Amino acid sequence: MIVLRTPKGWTGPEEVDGVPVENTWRSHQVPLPGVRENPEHLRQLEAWLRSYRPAELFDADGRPTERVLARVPEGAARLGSTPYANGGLLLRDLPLPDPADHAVRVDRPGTTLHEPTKVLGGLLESVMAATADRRDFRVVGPDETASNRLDALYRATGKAWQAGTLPTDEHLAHDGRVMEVLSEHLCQGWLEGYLLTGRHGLFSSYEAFAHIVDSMVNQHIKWLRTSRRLPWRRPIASLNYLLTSHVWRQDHNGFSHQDPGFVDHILNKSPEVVRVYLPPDSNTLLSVADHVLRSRDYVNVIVAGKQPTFDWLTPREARGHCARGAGAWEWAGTEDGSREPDVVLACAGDVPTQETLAAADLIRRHLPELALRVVNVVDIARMMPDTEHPHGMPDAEYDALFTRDRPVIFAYHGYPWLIHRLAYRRHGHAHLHVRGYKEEGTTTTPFDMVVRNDLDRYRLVMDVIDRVPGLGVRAVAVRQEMADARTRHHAWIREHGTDLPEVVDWTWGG
Amino acid sequence: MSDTRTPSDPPVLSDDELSALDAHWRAANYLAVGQIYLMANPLLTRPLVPEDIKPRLLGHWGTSPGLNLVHTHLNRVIKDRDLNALCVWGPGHGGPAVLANSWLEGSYSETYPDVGRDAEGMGLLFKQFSFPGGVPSHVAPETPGSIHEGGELGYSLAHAYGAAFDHPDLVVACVIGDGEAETGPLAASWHGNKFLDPVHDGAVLPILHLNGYKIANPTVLARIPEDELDRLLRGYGHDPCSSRATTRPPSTGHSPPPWTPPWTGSAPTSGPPARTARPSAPTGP
Ligand SMILES: Cc1ncc(C[n+]2csc(CCOP(=O)(O)OP(=O)(O)O)c2C)c(N)n1
Ligand SMILES: [Mg+2]
Repeated sequence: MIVLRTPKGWTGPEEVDGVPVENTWRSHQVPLPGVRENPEHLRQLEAWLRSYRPAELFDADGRPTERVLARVPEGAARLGSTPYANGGLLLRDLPLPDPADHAVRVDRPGTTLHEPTKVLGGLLESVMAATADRRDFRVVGPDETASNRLDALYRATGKAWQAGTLPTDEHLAHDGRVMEVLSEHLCQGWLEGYLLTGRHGLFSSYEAFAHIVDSMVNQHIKWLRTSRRLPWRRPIASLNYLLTSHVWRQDHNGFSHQDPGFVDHILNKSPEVVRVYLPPDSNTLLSVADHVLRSRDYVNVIVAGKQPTFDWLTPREARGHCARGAGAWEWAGTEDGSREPDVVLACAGDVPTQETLAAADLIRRHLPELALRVVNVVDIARMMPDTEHPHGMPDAEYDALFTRDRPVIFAYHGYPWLIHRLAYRRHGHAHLHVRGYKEEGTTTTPFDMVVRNDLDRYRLVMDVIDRVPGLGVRAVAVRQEMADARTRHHAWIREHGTDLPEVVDWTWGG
Repeated sequence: MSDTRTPSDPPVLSDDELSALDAHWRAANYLAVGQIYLMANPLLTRPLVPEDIKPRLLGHWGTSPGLNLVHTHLNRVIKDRDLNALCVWGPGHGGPAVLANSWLEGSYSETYPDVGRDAEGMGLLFKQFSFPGGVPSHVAPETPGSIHEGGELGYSLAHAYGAAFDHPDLVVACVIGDGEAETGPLAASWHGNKFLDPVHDGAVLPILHLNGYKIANPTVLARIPEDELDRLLRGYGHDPCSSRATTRPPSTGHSPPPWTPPWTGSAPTSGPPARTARPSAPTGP
């Protein structure tokens, strides 16, 4: 490396208005601030410009002379013309497998469990193996590739490491293309540099600590937003985040590790660049991953858990559902098509989807006369109007899916206000009731986390009873039963340290 | 690129070569100042009048002469060694310098044909800078050759390493401002060398630019004892070569440039010694 000492503002005015400027901080911006008004400053500027002897440097037509250009490289070797700075010129499509090759088999929804990120690990391993020679795909993360269940990657590559090693180390390799360093800033900066010069990658992070790069990703989004409008800049691979170890399942860590707000931050940014996905199960995660790894010039955020999660959709259904971005799960509702639903249970995110389906199950048993619709949202920008985001839903479609005037109980993965913000202009907004994380975090059982934040199945059923007109009076006994279950839960976890058996053993009955 | 990493004694550049480099550096400085101030009379074909001056003076001069000096010498090294090189300009507020160089080498006019490499184009280059409807003050996406805006400081060296991974034929130079070097992300970035594989990755050449100041303060790295800085950088596994500009430059006189760059022998690279020979000379992407 080189350590180069030069005077700041070197060759500029030594002094302005009697104070030193060259070689001081005063030269940082515009050393002569009043040139138009101050004849002395104008004189100084002219002397400054003429000190470079421009007549020796440019010919009468203003072209740089041969002498000036004598030591300048040519063609693509010029720093302003190198293709490495226009990475899209070097970019090749990734050799992606068919997601179906890694999919899990689903015979009945909500009866089998898989760890979504582990399933994704299989797909990533296959991409890593297929790029062994081309070396244009990397996975970065602070320290958590294995704990995020992506360790299948180590069958295809190691972790980059040039420092010392011990016999007890695992998976370290000089040429590894998984990169782990406990600096989210470095993960982000390396990946940006890698993508901007024409390659592909994925950043896997704890959900809460993605905030460390809030400001860096802002800059990258601005870069992409501007580049998209420059025809000579060729599209580059998207920056893909996998946020896992999320707010609802910080079983080992608790409050310090709970923050689902990165997506709120992202969704403030240029709609032409940002995309946020909350796949509810393993097959939808595969489908989303396949999509984002093919995409260009986006920042994609995927939020998906690493804990065992119910499988809801077959690979085929998952593909269709992800393509729609949001849709009704007819098999979960009780509509017969003869009338509008009485209530819509909507959900986004793996844990809220489970609670919503469990609530639907309770409603089917306790309130069978209700016409219930269950809606799942994978692509959160679908909640926005189509005039504000390319993935936004037209009002007619939104009205058809969520109704114009029926209560919608929306169980959302993150901060509930986000959904309100995105949907505030919808016809049905006054009837939209969102549950989500309201900063009630701690180290506790998984079900207690949702209870503390009023996102649990019992609370959702109570919300339905409270909001469907006329139901409160009729369903008073059911509501009491739900409240009692929450009380029972409270006592049970304090005595046993685990969740209620009826919660732990629940599966979708249909 | 060379497989040695210890710079040998810098060969003395000939007077002729020095004067060509000086001409290039002066031209780049002239163009940087012109962008900040002028909206007419780009070649000073007549004395300046207030109407030649932009009504709002926007941009950053202080970092620009240093960036221009680095660019001038990078050009020389790239040409001599036939390198594939990329440069990340950490102090991205030095947009006038990077734009000036891009215009001088012709890249700018090839990217934006309306801004030709002639008097009219020079006038446009000047006027458009930080001007409504024109180009941003920083090394933005609009700037040819850039992958790094350098608006929010701290990320240059991380970007440089990211660009070098899996590009074995690439040299990534990276100018780091001494203010930028105070940021957390930049401080962590020195460790990039522990992740750079000499076989599959390219070389990174960090250039720590100690111009001594930020906006309103001295910088830490310029004010600690020089040997402390040297030990700090060596502690991070880098091999610093120091270089200092000490005299008034030739802009006020007719002497050759006072500064002889240290990396005239072999291209110093950062990273651990190569385990095996690097693939042979770059052939382009
Ligand atoms: C993260 C961040 N904080 C603050 C600023 C405001 N700022 C712009 S330039 C500058 C000083 C930079 O000093 P240095 O890196 O030494 O650059 P140079 O002296 O070459 O201009 C600061 C603080 C910024 N651009 N980014
Ligand atoms: Mg400085």
